[in-house]
Order: sequence, then C-alpha cells, then structure tokens
Amino acid sequence: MVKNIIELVDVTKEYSTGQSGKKCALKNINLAVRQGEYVGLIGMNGSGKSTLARLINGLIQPTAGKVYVNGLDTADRSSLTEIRRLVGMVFQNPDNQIISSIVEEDVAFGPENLRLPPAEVKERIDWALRAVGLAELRHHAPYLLSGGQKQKVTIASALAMRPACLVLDEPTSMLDPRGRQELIIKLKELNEKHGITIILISHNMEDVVHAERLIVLDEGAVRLEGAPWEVFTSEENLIGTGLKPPEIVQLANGLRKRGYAVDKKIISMQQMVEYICRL
Amino acid sequence: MKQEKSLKLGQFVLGNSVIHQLDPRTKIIGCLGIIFSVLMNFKWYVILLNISLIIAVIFLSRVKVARVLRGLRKLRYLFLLTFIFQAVLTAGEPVFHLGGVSVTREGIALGTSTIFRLLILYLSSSLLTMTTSPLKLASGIESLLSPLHYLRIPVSQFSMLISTALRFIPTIIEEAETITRAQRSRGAQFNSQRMITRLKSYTAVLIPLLAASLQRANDLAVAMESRCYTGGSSRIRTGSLCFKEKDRLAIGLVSLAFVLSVVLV
Amino acid sequence: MPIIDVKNLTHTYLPGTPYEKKALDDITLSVNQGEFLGIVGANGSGKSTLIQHFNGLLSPTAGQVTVCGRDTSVKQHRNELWKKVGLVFQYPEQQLFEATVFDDVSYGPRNLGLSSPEVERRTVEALKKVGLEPDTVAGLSPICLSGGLRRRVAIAGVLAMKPEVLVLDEPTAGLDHPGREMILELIKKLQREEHITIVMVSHSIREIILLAGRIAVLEKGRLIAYGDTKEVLRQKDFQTLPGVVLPDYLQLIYALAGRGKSVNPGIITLAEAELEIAKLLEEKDK
Repeated sequence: MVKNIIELVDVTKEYSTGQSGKKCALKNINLAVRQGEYVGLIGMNGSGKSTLARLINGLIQPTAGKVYVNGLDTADRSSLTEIRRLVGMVFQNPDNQIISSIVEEDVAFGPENLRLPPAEVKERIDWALRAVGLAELRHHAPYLLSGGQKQKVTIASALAMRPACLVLDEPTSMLDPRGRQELIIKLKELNEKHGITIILISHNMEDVVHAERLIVLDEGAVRLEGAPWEVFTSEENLIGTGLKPPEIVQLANGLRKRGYAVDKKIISMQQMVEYICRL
Repeated sequence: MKQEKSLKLGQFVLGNSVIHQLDPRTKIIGCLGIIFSVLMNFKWYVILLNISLIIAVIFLSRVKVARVLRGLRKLRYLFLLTFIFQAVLTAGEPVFHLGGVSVTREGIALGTSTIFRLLILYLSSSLLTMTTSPLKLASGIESLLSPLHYLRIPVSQFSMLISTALRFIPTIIEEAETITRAQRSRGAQFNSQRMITRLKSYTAVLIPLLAASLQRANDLAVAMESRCYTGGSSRIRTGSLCFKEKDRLAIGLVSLAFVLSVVLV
Repeated sequence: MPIIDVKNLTHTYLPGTPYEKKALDDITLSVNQGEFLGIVGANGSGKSTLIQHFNGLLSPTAGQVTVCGRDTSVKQHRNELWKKVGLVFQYPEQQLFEATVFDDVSYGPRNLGLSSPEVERRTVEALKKVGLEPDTVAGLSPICLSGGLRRRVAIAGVLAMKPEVLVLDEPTAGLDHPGREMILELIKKLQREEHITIVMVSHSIREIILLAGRIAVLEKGRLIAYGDTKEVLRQKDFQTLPGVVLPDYLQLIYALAGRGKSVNPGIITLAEAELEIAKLLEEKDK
C-alpha cells in the first residue's frame, strides 16, 4: 500500500493583522500527497501557498486541524527533527538559504545537525552533489555561483538529509530561463530516478507541466485539483484565480473555441507538433 | 559563473599548502602570538623576528605575494597618517622643522616601527583568513573558546554568528555596490563638498542594506531551522579538528618566538 | 545623430590584475530618439555592464560612447548623465529607503534641484503614471507595501526625473503573471504617449519581441545579433543562440515550418500564432 507522506486534515491558518484584525490564509484545507508523487501547487501571491509550505515541515502550526508527515503530527515538538529530516525545503531566494562559504560545507550542515558520523556525512555530501550535478563545484564559494547553481546547492543540502519529500516554494522565480529549465528537469529526474516526492509551489504554470497532479489554491482554499491537462483546460475555473495556462494550452484553448477539436491532453510544444503533423 | 568585480580583503584562497593544512587553532594561536609579541615589544629585532616568521609563512602558504600586498594599497593612508603623527608628536631631538611643527629623530624611529607593527598586524591576520576557510576558522575559534562554555557563555552560537557573517561579507559588499549605483543613478552625491549631502547619500545605501539584511536573517533562520539546526553544542566538521605533528611544530616555533619577543627587552 | 551611439566599446574590469575580465568586446550599436531597443543575453553576457555605460556609471576601456550628444569618456559628462538617462536596476524595490512613498519618489527630482512645487507636481504625476493613487499611497511607508507595488514606486522614482532615455534592467524579474503584464503595459504606454527612448534588458524574448523595434543579443561580451526585431528573429540560427529561449508558441511555429507546414514564421504574438495554426487546421479540413 502506498502511504501518504503528507496529509493535511481540515487545516485552517489565521494570522492577526495588527489592530485586532484577522487574516485567514488557509481555510479548511484537506490534502494528501502519496509517497513518490510529483505534485504541483499553484496559486497567485496571497493564495496561501507559502503558508501551506511552512505548515508542512512544522515551521508554523495550524490554527485548527492537523498536519501529518509520514504519520507524525507537526504539533508534536519531539517529532519535529524527524519531520524536518523527512521534508526538505527549498525557498525562493537562492542566496538566503546558503549558510556556509563553501558548497561542500553547506551541504554538510544538515547531516551534521543530525549528529551523523563524519564518514557518513562525507558519503551523503558526495551523493547529494552528484544527484544535482554539482560535484565539480564542491569547493566553490556560493557568491560566485549563478542563481540556478545556488538553488541546486540548496537542493543538495536538503537531499543530504535523505528526505522522503522535497517541498520547493517558488524556486524558479528569481532564476533566468536557462536556470529555470535546468531546475525543472532536475526535479523530474529526482522524482523518477530517486523516488523522491516533489511538491513544487509556483505561480508559473509552465513550471508544473511535469507534475502528476496539480492543486490550485485561491484565497486560502483548494479551487481545483486534477492532472495538469485537466486543470489547464478548465478555463472557467481558472479565470478568477489570476492564473494563465501555459502558452501552448492557451493556443489549444483558442483553437477549440474556434471549433477545432484539439486533443485536451496536449500541454507541451512537442505534443502539439506531433499532433498537427499526424493530422 | 559570476566574475569577481572587485577584490575582497583577506578572502579565503583555496590551496593545499602546509599552512592550509594546519589546524585552524594552530593558525589562530600563531596569529595572536605574533600580534601580541609586536604589541608588547617595540624593539627592531623583535619586529625583524616576526616579519621573518611572516615571510616564511607567506612562502610556505604559496599565496601570491601580490595578493597579500594588494590590501595594503587600501590601507596606505592609514600608514601614512600614523607615521606623520608619530614623527611629529614624539618629543626628542628635532631633525627638521615643517611649518611650525618639528619632526624628531625619535619620532621617525617610532613612526617607522609603528608602521612595521601595523604591517605585521595586517599581514598575520590576512594570512590567517586567506589560508583558513571561514568555517574552519569559526570551528577553530569555537574550539578554543569552548572552555568558556562552563561559564554559561554560548560559544557555539557565537561561532555560528561569525561564520555566517563571514559567508555573507562578499554578498553584502556586492549588494552595497548595486544599491550605490542605483542611488547614484538618481543623483545621490557621494563625493559632494557638503557633509550633509554625503551623509544623506550614505543613508540611501545603508537603510536598504539594513532592510535586506534583516530579511536575509529571517530567511536564513527559516532555512537553518528547516535543516534541524537547534543551536547545539560543538558539531562535527568534515575532517574534525585534531592536532598533528606539523601543528605541534608550528605552535612550538611560535611559542619560542613569543617568549623571545617578551624576554628580549 | 542617435541619442545613444556606441562605437567599438570594450570594457575590462580590473585591468592589469590576475582577475582581469573583458566584459564587453568591441560593441557597436546605436539607438535613435524615440526607439525601443531590447537587449537579450544569458547571465554573464555583459548586459548589465553595457547599460551602465548609458547613464555614465562606467566609462569605456576602449571605444567611444556618446549619449545625448555627450562623450562619456569625459568625467564631467558622466557625472551629469543621470539627469537625462534614467536607469531602473533589477529588483529596484530593494533600493527604497525613505520614510514615505512620496519622499522616495521625490528623491530624484529633489536631487535635480527643482523647486518644491515642481518636485511635488512631478512626484504626483509619476505615481499616477505607474497606476498608483497619490492620495492613498503618498504617506505610506514603502515597507508596508507588497512587492509589486514597491516595484511600481521604485519605477515612479525614476520616471519623476523625466528622463529622455529610460533604461530598464529586467523590469519584470520575479513578478507573477498579472504583475508582469502591468509593468509591460506601463512601458508600452510610456513609449506610445511620451515617445521616450527606451532600452530594455530582458531574459524574456516574449516580452522583447512584443515591445522592441530593434534587438541586440549579447554573448560573453560580444554582439552576436543586432538589428530590426523581425529580421533578427528570421535569422536562421537565432533559436540556437545562447541566452535565447524562445516562447513556446514561436518554437511551435518554427518547428512546424521546419517540417514543411505552410505557416508564416514571421509572426510575433501568441494571437498571430493561433491564427496561423487555425489556418493550417482549416486547410487540413478541406
């Protein structure tokens, strides 16, 4: 039986905003992510996605409801270390996540916090750097790396803790197109080759085309859920959210409106080319 | 990969020399030993002894001399001013007069020795930071200060503070440069004659820098917490610190030099 | 006389040191009054270095740069250029420092030495141009605003100086879709209504081809493509140029054209691409 690695049960998160005001970031969220799944979480800024990310590894606690990681309750302080080992986090700003002046030592940070023996730490560093393709940058200083490379270092640092799941909160928004492409490809590889559960949070629809399942958040609630093609082609539901499907899907949607029966499952350029050439 | 647009003072240079391989504690003790020697004893032979020591280290560390001396350029005004002050303000036998003040022989001697001592101070600390990675440096400091743990002083957190600060110095410098350029593009005058305009221009750089640093501190704390940092006590470093033969030799040499410096009055 | 004239520009950082780096190598281009030039290139291609020559922050190591008729190798000219050329850096919201939005936007005009009424007039005007309501935001602290709003405030700060040339470095970086569209609309409007000369650096080919009449592609400091946007796009090897990531819909059209389908590869917008595919499908139906 494939287990749920992450589970949110009736989760609500409220923040107080100064003069006794209350802001509800998340309303009654119910969510489950299976081990090995690749999930895309999309929503505009203010939809609650970052709050969700921080709830998953216990950085913040829900106002109501429960968050379970591999069966462990994030409200239980004694479980937090294990929860954070299981869920690796990657945030938006590439610079502000790298703690050490040398790539190798930054990747070692997590395992060392877990009090692992030096030989084990070294082995994990080797593996993690190879997994993200940065083995030759091992001794480099972070400030000399490109944004994309820095994000890979952060991923390696998370991987060194041997997490079951990687949660990435807008990891590509500060990267250039090349860096973004490389990162997205790397995530797909990590999911397929190493079986790591991926939860990719983004406002950019093009980032999540490889996901198995998409969850659309809007104003703190789950608006839509389904396979990427289902979500992208569900125009009426996306309208209020401020999200736009990938350009190819916009094109396909437009063609369908003109009366041409274009296969709804087409979401990439390659698929569209093949489709048209086969006609 | 990004290119260094300007050189950072005392920055770590990757290498495999004898000096690089020394335990960081050895190097810290060595650096402090040399500094204290020249601070306590002004005599020329002490200065000579310590300068020779430093030259030997430069040679053994295989760090390019040009690199070491580069930082001196930025300090040239400090050196010049120091010399002038000593030369002019020291009482003694006047050598010549210049516009109302007299330059004394003792002053020149003192000025020269002070410059050399400043040089030794700068060189020894630069060599320390150039041959020791910031993290090793921090763990060396942490290890040396660890006895203070018994006095309830949070040594390992302090060490984390230092190594994080060191890690971000190049980033913050670059940020400051960018912000300066942006404000100059809006007419900020950093070279104005009026002090008030200059101050305002610096504020225009310092405030955004501070704001960015606060945000960064917040983000870093979140990242560290996510990787199970609990502010804990001494952590195992990759290749944990341990004194080897060359460390014992080095410490022995430095101790000898220190004792000589103190004793030879 | 072009408003920006660059002839054989070479710029080397830290010359004579072991860290010497040639950031720009023999660049020649020009921008005419009222034109829109798009600059594209990967990280490290020299884009940021190039635009700093346009407002006098840098002076050429070799070659000549003339902006608004002034030679930038003369220090006096460089020091005055900021008054005519407004440069908006990447993530400009990071440079906000004054206590209120009004104070920050008026920083530039105040540095220009304008009278108080004029400073106020320009500040209010600039805020309106970026779609902000002066009465509402003027007294707020920039820290309280969201990222997108702060960016608009930062851009207003440059617009308030009424520059003859506006240079933007990745103005939409890090923004979400509505935020990007807003900024692009703003730029389009500026060009349409005020005929300011605009130079925009961007990673997004999609944005550049929608706005720029001419495009320059940089790679490792060299100019590898330059000219009329439509013509440069039609260049055979354009897709393969480093730093060039074409929008999906263009890649689609080019791929179809490459397979012999009758689509017009000269299109620019998504809507045009849709039309072409529709025409193709129409023919297939027949």
